Amino acid sequence: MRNFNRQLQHLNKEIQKMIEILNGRKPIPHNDLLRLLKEVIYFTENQQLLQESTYKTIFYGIGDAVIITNAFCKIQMINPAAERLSGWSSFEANGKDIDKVFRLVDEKNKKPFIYPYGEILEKGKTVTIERHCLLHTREGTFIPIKDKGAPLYEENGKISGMVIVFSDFTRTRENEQEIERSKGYIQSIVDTVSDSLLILDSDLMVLNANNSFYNLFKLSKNVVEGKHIFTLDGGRWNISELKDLLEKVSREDTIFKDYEITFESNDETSYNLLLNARRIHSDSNTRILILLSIQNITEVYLSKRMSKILEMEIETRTADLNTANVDLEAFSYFVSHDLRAPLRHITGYINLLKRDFPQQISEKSTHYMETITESAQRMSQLIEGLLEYSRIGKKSIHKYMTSMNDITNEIINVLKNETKGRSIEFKKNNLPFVYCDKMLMELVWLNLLSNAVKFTQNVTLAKIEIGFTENETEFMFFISDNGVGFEMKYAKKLFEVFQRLHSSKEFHGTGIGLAHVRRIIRKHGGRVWAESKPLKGTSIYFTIPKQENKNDKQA
Amino acid sequence: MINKLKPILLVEDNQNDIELILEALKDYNLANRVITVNDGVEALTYLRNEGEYTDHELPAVVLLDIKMPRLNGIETLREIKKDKTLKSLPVVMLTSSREEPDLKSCYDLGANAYVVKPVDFREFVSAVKNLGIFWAIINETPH
Repeated sequence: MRNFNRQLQHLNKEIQKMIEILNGRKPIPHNDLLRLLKEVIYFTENQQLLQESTYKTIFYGIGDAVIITNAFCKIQMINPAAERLSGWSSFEANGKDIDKVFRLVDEKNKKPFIYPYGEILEKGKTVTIERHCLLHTREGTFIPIKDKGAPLYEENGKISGMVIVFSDFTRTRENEQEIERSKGYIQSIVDTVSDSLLILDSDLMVLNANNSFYNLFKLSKNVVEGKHIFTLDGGRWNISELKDLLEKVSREDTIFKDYEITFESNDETSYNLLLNARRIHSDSNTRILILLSIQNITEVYLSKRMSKILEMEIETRTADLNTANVDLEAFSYFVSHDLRAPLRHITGYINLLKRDFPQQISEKSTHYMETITESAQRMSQLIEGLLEYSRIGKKSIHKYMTSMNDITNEIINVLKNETKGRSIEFKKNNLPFVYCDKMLMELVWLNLLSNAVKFTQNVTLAKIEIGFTENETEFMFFISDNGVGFEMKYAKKLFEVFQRLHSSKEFHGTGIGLAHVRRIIRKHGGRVWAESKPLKGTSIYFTIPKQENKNDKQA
Repeated sequence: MINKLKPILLVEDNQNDIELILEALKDYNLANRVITVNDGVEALTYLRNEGEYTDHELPAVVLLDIKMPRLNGIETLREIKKDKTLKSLPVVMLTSSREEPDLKSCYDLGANAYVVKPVDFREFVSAVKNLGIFWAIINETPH
């Protein structure tokens, strides 16, 4: 009896503990609960001495579901938590076979799962179903549960029944699934990002690498995972500064950012890599992991360098161009001053000779002197043409809507006056307004019309026609004559500086007029070309882009 | 009358040009004395009477070549226009070309006219006429 009292005292203490746990809503360790229940039942059934209220508090108040059966699997007791979970009331459940109420199915295939009652009742084992199974409730729903089953003993050691404790596992399962999903999600991110990622442990062993890493460095999983980073790929990653940085991250929970290295890969490709590393927390929070991200910035690096080179190139070119411009100006200055002076002197002294010695100079000498003068004048004209050509090059153009009719009419009138002895038939269609520099365009028409007049000088009736066609983007003007013409194989030469297709004896001119024309048309964004047949005549065509700007002033 | 005529100052470095200009002026029986100096430094020395000129007299007009050694025409013009006693002197620039890039700066600096070489007397006279100083240049009747 003394023994019994001591046991009862012990039990009361345990129950007190349980109540504290219950009040504190702490999870009750399964094993403790089972042990306690066993003891409770032992007292209930065999000693009848347990205080009713304490017993009820535990059995009815506990959050876990509890079912107690006899040795024949018939339900003896079922607590409210078990009622709630299974959907069976204690009234209905009592006396039923346990597998009618505690119906389990396999989580995966939903097939009935037979609980190992034999193990408990015959072998006296405590069992837990390791794999997840679902409780098939009375309402037909399935609830994931966690369970434990244990035998109950009579005083003589004979198994008198069993107790099954189980609890709703839904929340935990959902959390687990959520974690699984997150893991998968994270894994897919890790695998998808273009940056290469390495996960190292605190000893800098590679735990994991992503696809980008394998692809970039052409390595396979088995030579990377589980290896020390500095042994990877023949020790290519054994870079002393990287070592310092990684060890610091591992030791001090610092991060390092944007550390740039040049990396020679095993196929001798050189990469520019940007490295970032930081500590990350493992599942258990106790293990130190290091995430090393490797960004391949080779292309960025190259394009940066390329653009720097290009920039420098442009700078050099601009400087060259400026020098060339300065040189050109100096040259023009030189030409206009120094080259003219001797010509001026030649002409001047010839004039003095003629003035001072009119009697002494023979007819032949006069002819010589005239030739000298003409040559000097011609040289002067060439210089003037060259200077004008360079001036057009330098001139900025001022474009307005300009009447091509006005320009051509004016020039034709001037030319008619200058060629009064000749028969020239000018035919002109109505010409449009064009967005161009008026002064330069006058020079174009003056050159083209003068050429047409000049190269028809041997024709009895000269015919000169000007007109235009247009499309959506540009106007095309033409001027045709029936003059001397030329062979088409020389057509390209026509627009070059000082190129002549006829001797200056036949046709006067410096050979620079069409070079002017081409320069001006090109400055306007147009093209110029010629078609010709010897003795049949020449057509010169040029285009001027249309400008859709309606706000422009008319000139 | 002749004594009262002021001289013409020709500032020109090229001997051929000097000769041709003098011949051109002679052709038209110019009555004015022509004083020739060879660059801007000499011109300023004359104008400021700092040299050993026995018969120094401020000219009626200065004919100033642009391209010269030492002090060129533009620099000389700038000096003349800065000088209180000289700035009212009429200055005619002698240029090689009508398109002379320096012409604009000459006008900006206060040049009164320009004449394109070789100097044609008629052109010179018309330039001078426009200056309103034609009275100072006398065309002597030929003997």
